[in-house]
Amino acid sequence: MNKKSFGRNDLLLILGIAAAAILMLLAYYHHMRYVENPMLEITVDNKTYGIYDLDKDARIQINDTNVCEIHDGTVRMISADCPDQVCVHSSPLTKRGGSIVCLPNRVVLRIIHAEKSDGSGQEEKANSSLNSVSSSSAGRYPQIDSLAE
Amino acid sequence: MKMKNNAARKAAVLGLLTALAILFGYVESILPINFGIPGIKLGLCNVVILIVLLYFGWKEAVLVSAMRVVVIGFLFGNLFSIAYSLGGAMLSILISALLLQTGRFHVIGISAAGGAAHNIGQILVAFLVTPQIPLLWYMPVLMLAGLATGILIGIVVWNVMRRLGSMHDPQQAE
Repeated sequence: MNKKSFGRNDLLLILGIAAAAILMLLAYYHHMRYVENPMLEITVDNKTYGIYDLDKDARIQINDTNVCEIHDGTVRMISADCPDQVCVHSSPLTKRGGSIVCLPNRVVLRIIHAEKSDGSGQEEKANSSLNSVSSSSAGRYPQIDSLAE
Repeated sequence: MKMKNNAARKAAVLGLLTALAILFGYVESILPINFGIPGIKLGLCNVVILIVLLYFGWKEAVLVSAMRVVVIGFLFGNLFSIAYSLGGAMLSILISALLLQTGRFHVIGISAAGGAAHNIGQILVAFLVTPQIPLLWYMPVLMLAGLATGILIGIVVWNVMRRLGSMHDPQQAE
């Protein structure tokens, strides 16, 4: 049984948790401020499926379970064969970051950044997988795009 | 006030409360998804779980919670959702029981922390399953959401407790 009445401890607890959460959010967005060139990374079962430019509208079929769409710089999951459809109803991703996950199909749509000033692990992986010829800010797919034209 | 004197009655009451928790889960599954982010639920079941924790103890709370997670998972979810719910529920009970033990917190505070812990537990399990998820972004959002719903749940439980009083067993005559 609980005879304690609502008091300072509870407020401290609630505000403390809220403050911790807000600090994490600030840290994340601060982290994101130094990046350029956001790209969409799609992984299936932890293996990279593809990396796509957010400025190019595209509809991407992922295996035969999911379909996502890049439109106007945002990413949405437009169809999936999972029972809960959480991924389809998730808020669209913008260039600022975030991710959409289809857990039953192990599909992850993630905004990553091709060039980054402070070399953290994921971004370096993106760099090497993009295989840019020049070391300048060309962290995109210009060669592949011109091939596709 | 803990009810330990009659094992049969205790089993019956706990069974009823478990059924109630499952019902709450059903109601929650009917409500249309109101948040854009996966994994944010109202946590209505936690009203019942918190009541069990307060009136019976943490072991009973774990039992009722585990049962309702499995049943709800089989009825309305999938194997993944059972894992996430279980992780969240257990962490939530752990935190809530610890806070309750100190005797320094009101129901609303305990529920708020428990709600946040519930969501954190879920995302930790999800992270173990699929390490790709950018934890850093989901965690604070879910923490805040869990905090908010926890406060609401806490207010509900508080009102229930005020009406239930210290003895929830109306039959005094033994």
